[in-house]
Amino acid sequence: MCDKELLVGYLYDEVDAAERRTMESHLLACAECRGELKDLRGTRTRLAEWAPPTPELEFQMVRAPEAAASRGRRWSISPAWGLAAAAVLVLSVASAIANVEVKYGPDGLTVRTGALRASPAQPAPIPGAVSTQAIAAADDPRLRAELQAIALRIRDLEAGGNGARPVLTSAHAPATQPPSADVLRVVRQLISESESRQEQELARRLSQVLRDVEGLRRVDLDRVQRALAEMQGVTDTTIIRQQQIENHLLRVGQPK
Amino acid sequence: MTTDEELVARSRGGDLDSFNQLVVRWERPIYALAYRVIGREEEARDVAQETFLRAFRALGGFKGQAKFSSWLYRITLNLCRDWIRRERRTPVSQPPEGVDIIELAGETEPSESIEDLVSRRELGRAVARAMAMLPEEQRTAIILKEYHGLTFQEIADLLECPLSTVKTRLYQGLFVLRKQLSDAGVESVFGPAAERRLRADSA
Repeated sequence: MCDKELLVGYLYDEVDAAERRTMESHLLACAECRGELKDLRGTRTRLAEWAPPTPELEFQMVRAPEAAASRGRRWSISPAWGLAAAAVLVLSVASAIANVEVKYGPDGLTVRTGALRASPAQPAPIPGAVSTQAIAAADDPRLRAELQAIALRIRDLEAGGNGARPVLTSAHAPATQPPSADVLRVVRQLISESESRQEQELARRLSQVLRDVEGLRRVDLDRVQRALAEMQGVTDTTIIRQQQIENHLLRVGQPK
Repeated sequence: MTTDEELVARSRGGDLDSFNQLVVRWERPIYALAYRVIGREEEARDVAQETFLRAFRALGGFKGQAKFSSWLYRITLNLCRDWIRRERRTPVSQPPEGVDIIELAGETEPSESIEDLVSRRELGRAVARAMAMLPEEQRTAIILKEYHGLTFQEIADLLECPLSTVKTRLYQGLFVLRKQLSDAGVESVFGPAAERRLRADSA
């Protein structure tokens, strides 16, 4: 009885002691199996000659956070407050900008100049007590009127002008004799008071923006951490090292 | 040396370097498996790469019930089967055409003549062709046994078939191969030179 399965087991040397004894005593008696075993061993040596080519493989998994972001994956991170950080930087430099509206919303950070309407919640601009006195001190009533007009014009520009620096040009100033030194002094005072008012307004808005940005940055960080926690088990060809990105976020988000 | 199990555990914890170590360890056997099953170099490379991508993505679900290598092999064999079904034709191995005598001269062993070496190259090609003619099931069983050293039981687990079926497939495959090779003029003689080479290869 020629058991081919036993023969194969014996051929590959995967038999227990009992099977081995059975096979070896069978081989002594069976020439056919002896012949077949020899043939199969010969075939096996031939098979050993078949080697695959040896191409350059070197597969490696890589981190590519930029790729992940551009593919728009569910867990890609695009912190909008990064833009806010840049915008804040710009605002802090341009301190002479008037009528700055700063908004941080779902569309991101928007900064508009000159389009502001004073809202009731805003504190009233500091009354120009000094300049009123200075104006009142002017002797000539017509000069007084002109200075008033200038003061009003400055207020106008602060309240809803075209965002340009409130510079007194000849178009705005009354066309009279060349202004005296006193007039110039008062006018300069008016301008500097206006500037400080605007700077205070700007500073107020800036601090508001920074508070908003900080809040949003925390929200973003939460989102990031939650997304990364989701990613722990299921990952793709790109992996973001959690610590690296947190450090990056913290660095960029530092208020200047 | 770090075990597969350790590297897998670290990879599941998010350690990319550990997974890459596993890749380096297993990329050649996986490629060799895919190449012999499919018979095409480029496709085998793609299958090998895809194997590691899938393994990486599915790490969370791998709990170590089987060996990591077995798990990889299963992924590879599934991908190969998919490829074969898509192509809807039997794979034909494409060994390099022609023989470069100059190149061969550097390869001969001291006791081997050029003729012997040419015969060896031809032999490799003859084996590839003969293997390509086998049904997929027999070819896969032989590849796993001859070139990857899996036990009968491991093959049975991998191919999800009974132990006796594995042995039957091996026997039938070898039987057909012997005939194919003999028809191609290749003597399946188990002589002393062949035995020496067989021992040297498995060393």
